[in-house]
Amino acid sequence: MENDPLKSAWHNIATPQKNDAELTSILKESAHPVLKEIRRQLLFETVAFSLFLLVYYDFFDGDRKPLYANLLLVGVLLLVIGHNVAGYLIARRGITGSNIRQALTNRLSGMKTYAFVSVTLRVLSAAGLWFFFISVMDLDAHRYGLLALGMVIVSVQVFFLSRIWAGRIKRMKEAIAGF
Amino acid sequence: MEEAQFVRLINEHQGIIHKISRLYRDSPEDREDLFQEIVFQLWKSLPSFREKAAFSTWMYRIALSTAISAFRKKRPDIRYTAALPDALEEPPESHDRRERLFGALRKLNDADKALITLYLEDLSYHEIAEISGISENHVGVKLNRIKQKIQQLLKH
Repeated sequence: MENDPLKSAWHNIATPQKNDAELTSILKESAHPVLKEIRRQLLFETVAFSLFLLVYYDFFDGDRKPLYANLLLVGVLLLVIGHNVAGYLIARRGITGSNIRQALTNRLSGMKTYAFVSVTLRVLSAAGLWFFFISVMDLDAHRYGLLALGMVIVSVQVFFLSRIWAGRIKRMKEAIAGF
Repeated sequence: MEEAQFVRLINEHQGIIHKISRLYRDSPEDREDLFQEIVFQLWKSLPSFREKAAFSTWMYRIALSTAISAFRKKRPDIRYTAALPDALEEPPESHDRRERLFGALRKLNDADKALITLYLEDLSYHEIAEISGISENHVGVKLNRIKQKIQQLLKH
């Protein structure tokens, strides 16, 4: 009989039971619910960006654009693909740190770096596309308007992306401070 | 450690993983996702387990770190009542007491949930300090405050 009623109630909580086969299937990366979702998105984005890189030179007259514009576009898209792959590898990595506080601090540090690179790459990829398309274009009032509209759309995207990451980082900082 | 041996150990300790999942997530889908995430992270983190140490101590550290740091999916906050068979097998008052306890525990912040879980699992202050990364004295102070908070929550 437990003296502490809290402990007594805790120990008497009934929990579901999974068998060995169910537990073994959880160990497989292909069955992981979050990784499955990231993998699907990663595959979709990587295929889309790779296809774009394969056809952009012919479809969007890469030969008539300056070399720097071509290099910038290809470089930025390759960085985005690399960043997506890095995100997947980070998500499948185990917990590091000799205690919970340390594990959360390590996670926070990785999260900050990943967030910074995510937001920076979103801006750079938009800039790479703009540079490519406007590098040989004569800009008139109409095109300046379109450019400004594009900048507003990207700014809104960057704002929301930054807000999502800021929220995650804040929650993690609060969890660490709670110890 | 072989996969079969690991699965056997998880099978023995799965009750606490289910309790942690229930404590840190509201919907059955989110709890199932967190359960899977914890088991997967334990498997991936296995190289950091030194077999001289107790498996459960290492497991608490990884499981609670995962529960706190795993991203929460944005889902509508729908609360489910307990399953009917569970409620029929026992006196309603003891079931109600446990539901109220869980309700109170869920209102704590992530760090307090971790500390009270370790306390409820009968770990010593020394073990709680080692797993959480804070001093033994601080564990004592924090646990007293958390227990008071829970008593307050249970009164309302």
